[in-house]
Amino acid sequence: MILSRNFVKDYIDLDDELSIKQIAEDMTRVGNEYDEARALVNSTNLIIGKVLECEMHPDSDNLHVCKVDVGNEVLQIVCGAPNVAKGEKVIVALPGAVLPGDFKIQKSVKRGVESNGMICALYEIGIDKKFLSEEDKNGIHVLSDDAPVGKDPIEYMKLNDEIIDFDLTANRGDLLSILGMAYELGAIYDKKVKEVDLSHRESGEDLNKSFELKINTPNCSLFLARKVENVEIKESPDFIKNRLIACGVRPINNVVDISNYVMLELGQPLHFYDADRLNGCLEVRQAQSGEKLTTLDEQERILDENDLVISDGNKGIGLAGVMGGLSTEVEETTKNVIIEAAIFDSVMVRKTSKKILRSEASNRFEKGLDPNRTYMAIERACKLLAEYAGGTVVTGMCEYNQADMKDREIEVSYEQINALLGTEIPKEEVLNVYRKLGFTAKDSGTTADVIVPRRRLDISIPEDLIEEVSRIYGVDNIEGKLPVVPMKRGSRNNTLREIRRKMVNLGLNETLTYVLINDKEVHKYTADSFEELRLSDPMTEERSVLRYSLIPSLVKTYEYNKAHYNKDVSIFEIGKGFWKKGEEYGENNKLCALMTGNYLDSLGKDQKVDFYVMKGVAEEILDYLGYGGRYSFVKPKQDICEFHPYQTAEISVNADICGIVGKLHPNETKDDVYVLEINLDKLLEKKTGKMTFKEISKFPSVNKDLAVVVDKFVTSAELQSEIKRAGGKLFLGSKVFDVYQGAPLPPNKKSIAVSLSFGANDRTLTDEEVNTVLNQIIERLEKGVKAELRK
Amino acid sequence: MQDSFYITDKYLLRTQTSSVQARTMVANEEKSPIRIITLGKTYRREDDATHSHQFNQIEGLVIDRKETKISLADLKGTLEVFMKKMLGEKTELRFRPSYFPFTEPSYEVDVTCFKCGGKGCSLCKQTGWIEVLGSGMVHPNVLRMNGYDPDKYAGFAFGTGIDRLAMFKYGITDMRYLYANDIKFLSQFDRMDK
Repeated sequence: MILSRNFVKDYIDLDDELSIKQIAEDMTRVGNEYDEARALVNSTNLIIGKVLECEMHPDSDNLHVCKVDVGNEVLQIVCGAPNVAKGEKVIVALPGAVLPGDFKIQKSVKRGVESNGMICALYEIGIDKKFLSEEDKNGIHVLSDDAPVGKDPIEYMKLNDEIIDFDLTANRGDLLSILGMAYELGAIYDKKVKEVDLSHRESGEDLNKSFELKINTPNCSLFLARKVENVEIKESPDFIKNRLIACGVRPINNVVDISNYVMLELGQPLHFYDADRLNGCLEVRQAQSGEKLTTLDEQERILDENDLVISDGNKGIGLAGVMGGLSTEVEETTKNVIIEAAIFDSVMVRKTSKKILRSEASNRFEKGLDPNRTYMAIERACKLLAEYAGGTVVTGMCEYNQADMKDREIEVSYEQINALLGTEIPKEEVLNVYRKLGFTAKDSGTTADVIVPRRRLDISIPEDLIEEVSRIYGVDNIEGKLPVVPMKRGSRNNTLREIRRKMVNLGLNETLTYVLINDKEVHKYTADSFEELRLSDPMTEERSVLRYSLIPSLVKTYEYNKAHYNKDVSIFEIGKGFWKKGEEYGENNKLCALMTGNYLDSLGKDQKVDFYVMKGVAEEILDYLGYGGRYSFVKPKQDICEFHPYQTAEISVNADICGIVGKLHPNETKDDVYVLEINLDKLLEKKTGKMTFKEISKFPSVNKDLAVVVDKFVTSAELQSEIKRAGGKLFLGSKVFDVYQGAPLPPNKKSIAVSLSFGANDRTLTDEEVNTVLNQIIERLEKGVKAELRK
Repeated sequence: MQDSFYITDKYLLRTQTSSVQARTMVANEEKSPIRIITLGKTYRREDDATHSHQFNQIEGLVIDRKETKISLADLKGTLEVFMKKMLGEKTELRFRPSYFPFTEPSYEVDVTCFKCGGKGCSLCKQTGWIEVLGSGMVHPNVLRMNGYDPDKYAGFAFGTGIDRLAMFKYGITDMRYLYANDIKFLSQFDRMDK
């Protein structure tokens, strides 16, 4: 809704000192946001000039060289408009003028001829082309002969208005009118709103004798009709045209303009019919399914029983609240007008207008209307038609009224107001707010009994009245304080937060990727069977299913980084994976990591990421969470084709598979890329060991290195578990420090080098003791995994 | 709603974290006061420089017996602390009355523009303010429908988009940076944030 300052001044005295920007800001503070606040014609340094001479430019086919009298001097101006001519009164932008779009006018030379300013078209000074006549769209604006040379053309054309374009909230339908705006401004500046002039004469036989209403639907609560005879269709007076333009509506002719003018002024949409094309009757009914109707825009519409139709008793002639029909439209030849002012069901109008056209009128019906305003609007239209279209108002009004006309009475206690706002506003101040808003408020000791005018459809419960106090008293005047309540920290995501911290501390970057992925990727990197969750209406294929694993997202992130010249990528994410099994829907928290290139580059040492680094990250997390000694890395039960066949392990915790760690298969990428994924929900439900102290041996431990050659399918983990089984009490632990494949070993063999440590709490071990255990281990390895000691 | 992602007629991706508020209230059955912060992923059918189809919201909800006098003043104080901690101690707040169906009264909250400090610039459209939060006192109907007697209980709620807040706080120019996860982007935030 656009507010015109000149228009609203009809109903409220605004201090001339108040800038339009200040008014807009004051409205914002009570809840009415705006997009822009400015002068209607946003140009400076304009002056009325008279063209004394106009000749063709010697060097151009379309430029004219003009001598223009601007009062105190005669300027030479080069003008390109086709309609410039000697004797015309025109709008001149003097050198130094600034036109919309920050267009600065300066002295210049055009093809060798000096030009001191510009002769302007209306669209050049800021009137949108959609409001202009054909001549004005194509050339400069020619003023009437009585235009005073040397004076301000904006003032002369009465375009010296200012506007605010508001972006209103959905509940304030009452502000979709100049009168509603006046009430709001009245509350802010404590000014009284003036009466609307509805006075007009009427004559002739009562309309009810010649005209009839038939309301055959429950979806029309109020319908009024009056008749105005012998109207003269012509151009509207300037003030009507200019106010329509200011409010964004295109002027057409006086009669059509008056219907729009009243809608803008009072918020009630009206419809004017050519009375001679009706059969003395207007009917409101639901459309029949498949009924056809040609609307004003000359389009044939096919309707159904959810559309509300106006008919002349025989056939449909308009879509109620949305658009009139072509057959009864007011035309140049119209003499007699029937005015319709009605209230239609807001939901029904919304549905129809959504199908057909959203208009200024339908928007107002959707938001709801005050029936008192409907009565005002029809009288106001009669008055203006009599005054500006020379019409004669016919006596009497056809009237159908099932509307609730009553104002609402709401009781609100002062204690309730101050409790909700956290304030100590005295009752006088509360009553003052309601008075400023134009409500009637009576003090009943502990409560205010407020009568809310029907126009404020948004106010129905005491809380709404409390909001009015906070708006007009001013939220800025309410001091903020902190609630004093016992608080405790939530426990829910602490573990996830700990894991996140640990991963960051390990030198990985946390990512946040999209949950929606391409359906081609949802079953990758897993052997689990599940049904994917697919969107019924995705935006793109790329974002069409919910991910099950986070690995596809991290692989995409790695690819993005590779394309952006980041070779070293160590990232992780904690997020949910989604699935469906039969009728069961589920989601799991998952930890996923991806590493490639160098790791912890800042340490100054090239540490290439390999399988053991990735597995080491998994061990760090599992140990940190307390699963030390309860997990092992085992060969996957079945091959997953996106993983490397030999450099992949499943993570078994308390003998249950909780995750996977491995290298991506060379078919997936030529780079060495390692990933890890753990189902955290599954992991965190497993028991952990207690954190307890174990006696530390005072005696030194003994280390022995062992290198064995095994078949290439044997994993280090398998080797280590064999060692552990054979080690007995004196064995403390093992660590793989080298894995080698290649010459001089045969192609199907590899060498694994392990460091073993031995010790006891009560003594230093003798060589003999250590060698006995070591031999047991070697024997076990020879039998268990056919290992050969490497020489 | 046309901006939701549906999976079936019954299941959809949430467009806002407010669903958590309702669930908490229903589960709690008026047994005790509620003071929660919820945050999480939300989804809407849009994608451009300032909107991502996946984004994050944070919401707060306080509900208590009326004797404790939880009020608009408490909401104001809470959000002042929240925004000053997030965007700097000099940040000022402006509460603008607004309209949301689930709160009454409702307020949109603006903070002083972090680019120009409130003088007016292109980012804040010369107003000096940037809108960051939606908030209000919980609507009596919301209390009633979730099993709380509006004659005995009152409370406030607020919510904001984490992604947008992060963009403001760090001066990130395009929302898509947040989801591209370029290492050169991520490593800029690998530090203590004082």
